[in-house]
Amino acid sequence: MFRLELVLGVGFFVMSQVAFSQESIDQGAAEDAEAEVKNDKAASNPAGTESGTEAPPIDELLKRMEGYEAREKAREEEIEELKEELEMQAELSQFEGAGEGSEELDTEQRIWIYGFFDLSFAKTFYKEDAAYGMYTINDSSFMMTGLNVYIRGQLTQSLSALSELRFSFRPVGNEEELQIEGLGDSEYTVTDTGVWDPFTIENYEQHGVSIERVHLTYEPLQWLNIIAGRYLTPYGVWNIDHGSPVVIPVRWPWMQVREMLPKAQTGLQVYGTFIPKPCWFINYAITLSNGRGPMESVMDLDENKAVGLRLALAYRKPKVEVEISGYGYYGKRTDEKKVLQVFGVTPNDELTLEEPVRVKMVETAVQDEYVVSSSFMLKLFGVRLQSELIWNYIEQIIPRRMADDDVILNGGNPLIPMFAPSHTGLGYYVLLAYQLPLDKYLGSFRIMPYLMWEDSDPAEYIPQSGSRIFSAGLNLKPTPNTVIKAEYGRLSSLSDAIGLGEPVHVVQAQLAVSF
Amino acid sequence: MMMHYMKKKKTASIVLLLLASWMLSGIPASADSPDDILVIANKQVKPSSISMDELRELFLKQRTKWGGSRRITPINAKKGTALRKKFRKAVLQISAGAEQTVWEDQKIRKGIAAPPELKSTQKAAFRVWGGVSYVFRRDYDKNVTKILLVIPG
Repeated sequence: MFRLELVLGVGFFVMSQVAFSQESIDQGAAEDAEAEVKNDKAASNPAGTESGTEAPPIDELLKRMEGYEAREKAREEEIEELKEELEMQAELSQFEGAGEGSEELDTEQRIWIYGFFDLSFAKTFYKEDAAYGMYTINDSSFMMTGLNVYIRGQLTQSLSALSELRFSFRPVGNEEELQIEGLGDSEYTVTDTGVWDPFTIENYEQHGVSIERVHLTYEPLQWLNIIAGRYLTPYGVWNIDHGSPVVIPVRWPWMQVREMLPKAQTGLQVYGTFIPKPCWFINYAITLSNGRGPMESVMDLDENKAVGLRLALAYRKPKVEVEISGYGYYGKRTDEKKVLQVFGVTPNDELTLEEPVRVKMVETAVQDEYVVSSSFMLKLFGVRLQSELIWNYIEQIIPRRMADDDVILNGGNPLIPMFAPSHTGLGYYVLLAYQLPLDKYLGSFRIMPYLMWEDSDPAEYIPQSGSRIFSAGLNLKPTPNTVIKAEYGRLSSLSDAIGLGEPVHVVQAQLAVSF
Repeated sequence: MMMHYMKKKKTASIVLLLLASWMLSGIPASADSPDDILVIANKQVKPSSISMDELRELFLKQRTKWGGSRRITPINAKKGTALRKKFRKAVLQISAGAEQTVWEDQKIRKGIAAPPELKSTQKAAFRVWGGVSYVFRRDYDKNVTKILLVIPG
C-alpha cells in the first residue's frame, strides 16, 4: 500500500514537472511569437506608430512599395549614368588630354599611319622598232609603282608633322645606258640590285625609298598657316590630289609627268583661307624654296631662292562646286661642280702645308625659269569638268647640256654634246567625267566614265617630246578605299620625225587601294 | 420637317468634322518636336548661332577656326545611328559611302582625318574645347551646352 502511494506520488511529481516545463515552453513560444509580431510591426512601421495589434492599411503599404520602387529606379539610373560616364572616359581616353584634370581635349589622333598602293596592267601597241620603245615596252605587263606610307603626328592643337614615304621597287630595271648601234661603243646596262644573304643564301632584290614630302605644319589661324620642310607644290588640282586612289584617270597628264612645274619643293610655305561669306573660299599660298637643281631636296647651289604665289577662289555647296586657281613661279636652276685647287706641290708630287687649298665652285649650267599655271574645276550634279594649263619660259644663262634621249629625239649624236636653247613650253588637259546617279540601286558603289584630252609641248625645241593624247575610261569605286580604273589611250607625237609618225595605242587598267 | 432638319444638322456635323480633320493633318509638327536635331557647342564657344552652310563647312573641315585661334572640333555621332543618318542627310546632303570617300581622299591629299565619332555627343561637346556636335532634342540637357542651330526633325 505504501509502495503504491510512493509510486503515485513520484508519478504525480514527474507529471507536474513535465507540465510545468511544457507550460514554460508554451509561454516562451508565445513570448517569441509576440516579439516577432512586434518586430514585424516595427519593420513595417519605421515611424513607430503604434497601431497596436492592427496591420497597416493597404494604401500605406502600396505607398511604401511605390517608394521602394522609386528608390530602386533611381539607383538603376545612377548605375546607368556611371556606365555611360565610364564609356565616355574610355572613348575620350584615346585622345590627348591637355593637362591633368583639364577638360581641354585634343580629339586629333596623336600618331596616324596610313597609305596607298596600286597595281596596274598595261599593253601598249606601237609600230615595231618605233622610238617610243625608249620610254615604254610593248609587252603586256603588270606594274607596281610602289607603296606610299604616310605618318602623321599631331603635336599640339596647332602643330602637326606629316611625312609621306614612297617605297619603290626601283631602281630595279632602271636603264642606265642604252646600246647605240652605229654610234661609238656603248652597252645596254640595267640596274640589278640582287644580293645574297650570307646566312640563308637567299637571293633578294634591294629596293628604294624616296621621300615625297616631310614637313612641319603650324596652323594658328584660318588665314595664316606655315609649312616648313619638303612640301608638294600647291598648284592645280592633281598635284594636290597626289595619289592614285584620288586621281581619276590611270595615267597622269604628260605635262605633270615631265614636271613643267616642280612636283615638290624644299623650303617654306605660308598659306591660308579667307571665308568672306559661307560657301565662298579664297585660298592663297606663298612658297619660298631651293627651287630646282641637281640636289635641291638636300641643298641649294646658288643664292637665289625660288618664289611662288597661288591664288584660288572656290564656291562650294553640296551639289555644286566651282574652283579657279593660278600659280606663278620663278626660280633659278644652277648646276655646278666643286673644284679643289691645291698649291705648293713639291717635285715629288706631295703637298706642302704652307700653301693654301682653295675650293672653287664652277657653274656648269644656269637657267632662269618662269612658270604660270592655272586650273579650273566644276562639279555640277555629278558632272565634273576639269582643266589645267602650264606655260613656262626657260632662259638659258649658261646653257644646259641636253640628255642623250633628247639629243636623239632632236636628231643629234649623243656622243657630241648638244645644249638646250632658251625656250617656252605649253601643256594643258581637259577632263570631262560623270558620276552615274545609281545610288538607289548600287548604294555607295560609284561608276564614273570619263574622257580626257591633253596637248603638251614641254620643250618647243624638241617637238618630238610633245604629244597629243586622247583617253577614255571608267573609274569604279566599289568601296571608299578601292578604285578600279580601265582606260584606252591614243597618243600622237607632235612630230613625224624618227619614226614617231604612227600613233601609239594603250590599254590599261589599275587597282588603287588606300588603307 | 423636323426629321429633315435633324438630318441636315447631322450631315453638317459630319462634314465639319471631316473638314477639321483634313485641316489639322496639314498643320506641321510643333517646333519643339523631340525629333529635332539640336546643334550644340561648348559654352565657351563664342558664336551664338551658325547657319546650315557654316555647319557643313565645319563638319567637312573646310572651316577650322572660330575666328580667333581656337580650333573647331566637330564631333560626329556614331556611324549607323539614327542621329548620324539624319544629320548627314540634312547637313552634308551626301550618302554614307560618299562621306567616307571624302575623308579617304582628304587623308591622301593633306593628311586630314574625319571628325571623331563618340556615343555621347552632348558630353563630348561639353568636355572638348571648341567642340561642336548634335543631339536629338529629347536627349538635350540645357545645363551643359548651348544651341547653335535647330534642324527640324
